[in-house]
Amino acid sequence: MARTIAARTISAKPSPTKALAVKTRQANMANTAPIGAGWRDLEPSLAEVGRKYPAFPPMVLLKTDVQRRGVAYTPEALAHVNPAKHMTTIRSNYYDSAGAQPVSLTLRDGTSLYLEGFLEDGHREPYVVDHDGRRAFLTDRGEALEEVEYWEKPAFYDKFTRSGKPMWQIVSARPQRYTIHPKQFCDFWKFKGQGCKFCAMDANFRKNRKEPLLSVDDVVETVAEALKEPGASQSLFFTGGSLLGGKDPFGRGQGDPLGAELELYLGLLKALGQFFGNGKFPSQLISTAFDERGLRRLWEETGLMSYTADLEVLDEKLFGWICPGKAKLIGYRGWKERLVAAADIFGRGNVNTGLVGGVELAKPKGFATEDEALEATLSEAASLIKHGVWVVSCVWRVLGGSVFFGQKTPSLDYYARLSLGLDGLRRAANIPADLDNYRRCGNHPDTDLARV
Amino acid sequence: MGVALSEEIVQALGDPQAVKVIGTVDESGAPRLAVKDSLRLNAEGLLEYDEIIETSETNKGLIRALWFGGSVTALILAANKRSYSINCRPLRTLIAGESYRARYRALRSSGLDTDLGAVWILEPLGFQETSLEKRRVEEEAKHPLLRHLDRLAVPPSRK
Ligand code: SF4
Repeated sequence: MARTIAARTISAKPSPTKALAVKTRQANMANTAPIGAGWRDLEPSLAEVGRKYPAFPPMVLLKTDVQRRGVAYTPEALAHVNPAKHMTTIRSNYYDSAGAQPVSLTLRDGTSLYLEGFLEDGHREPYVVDHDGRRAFLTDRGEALEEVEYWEKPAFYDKFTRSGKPMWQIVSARPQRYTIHPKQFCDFWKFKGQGCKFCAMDANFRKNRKEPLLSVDDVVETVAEALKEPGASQSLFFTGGSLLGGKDPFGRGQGDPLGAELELYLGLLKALGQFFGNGKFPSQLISTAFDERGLRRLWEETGLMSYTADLEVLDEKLFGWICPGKAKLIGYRGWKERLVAAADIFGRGNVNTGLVGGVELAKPKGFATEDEALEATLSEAASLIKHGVWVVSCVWRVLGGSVFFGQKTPSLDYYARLSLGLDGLRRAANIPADLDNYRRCGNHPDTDLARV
Repeated sequence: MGVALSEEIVQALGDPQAVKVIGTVDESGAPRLAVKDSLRLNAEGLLEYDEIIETSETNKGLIRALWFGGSVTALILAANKRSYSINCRPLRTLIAGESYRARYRALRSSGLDTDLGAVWILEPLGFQETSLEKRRVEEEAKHPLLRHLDRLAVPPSRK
């Protein structure tokens, strides 16, 4: 299956003597065995999609496909992971790892292949990361496509809070962002059938026996430590599971079901505000969509600079099917109204909404064709951006533990068109991608396009 | 493939009085020139500079060149007025990690209250001395037909 490893677009070519070893090693790797033989004949390849969209940056296209297909590591690639330098531990919504594998990878242009341990989608062979002794390469069928670097970890990762917790479990890092997940469980899962169908938070929470809430003291202590490292982060980012108040948050007359979630973030943001003279600081919150009163409090009482509430899918019917809890609590239209209110408060462009790109094609209720899905998604995105709310998408990774596990994600061609469409809308509206740009989040191919 | 730079260029790169410029092209093909005082040679013989402005046209031009296989130009004007043009390929950009942070710390400790968009690593593909005197002599040797007659005419007194 493997051809000789041959760097086409990279300068540091693997030595020919090592190529054979690489070839043999990859052929012997159990986790690169073909999944559904012939899958490559069923959809356009990376090269074909690249030729179809010559203006689409090849590295961003590669990232998109890697996020679609996943990665595996050769033993040689794993042997070059240095846990003293590279990030191998992470605690996040969908994935926790204290293993020997890199959490994620970066390309030569700084593009993040945000992976969080995504190994394969079950329908396609993953790309393979290999190492020639000098550098790591992303390969497909033995052919080296691009150099990759393993993410490095910040200095605080090896430290502990006074309460004895490893700091990496409190704050995680992306290239230029510190991420805090104060609520490690989502309350929609407490109510049968109300969790989002692509979401693996419940499974991850149970598997790793996490505490539902982080302590504010632990977060403050960890952020204080993290801020000692100059140049390590441009942003503080907050997100987590929904926190629903009352026995029946969906019932009437129960008070504000999101009051507790709002207080959680207000408290945390105020506590962290001390590090920035209680002024505004580069930051983003993704929460359940708060009402106007809550949004105003966040803006007026804290240093928060940008706000996101994820619609996940831009279609009212599909929102009801895929995100039943959100639909029941707030509704598709209500969610959109709250986003628009947020843009009025935080400023045009400082509010966006995230999509799990591709989930709109989930079976059996999703759109029947990629063309229909694209048209519907972009037309809804256009209506939101008119009100200053822009839309970002990530590549749907079908996660173990999610209701949708086993589904097949769309073609690379679809993701290329989706990214181009969303980027085009954002540019036409003259909105910068700063709040979710390539080195803060790194999970959105459409905002990677914003770099030029 | 990359080339090793001449000793004069290496010296000029190390001269704080030298003017260093990076030239890129924008989306329409128009040239964009920007002075980059931090342009230097790294231990691997590659050019390197600190891009302070993350959304600058130069940064965009470099990313575009890296993505689509284009090249960029580094121009150096030494204090002795000799100048050099280096054709380069953007090889990689550092936006996080220890090497990036080391440059960030260096910039901050130099007293500049600044951010750092990226550190760029450029591979020299070829170079040329562009000093007027050198180019003028080369030009006349290579293209002897391209000269004005009055410059060659013998003055009447010497006929
Ligand atoms: S709101 Fe939906 S996507 Fe978010 S954590 Fe809860 S179930 Fe998962």
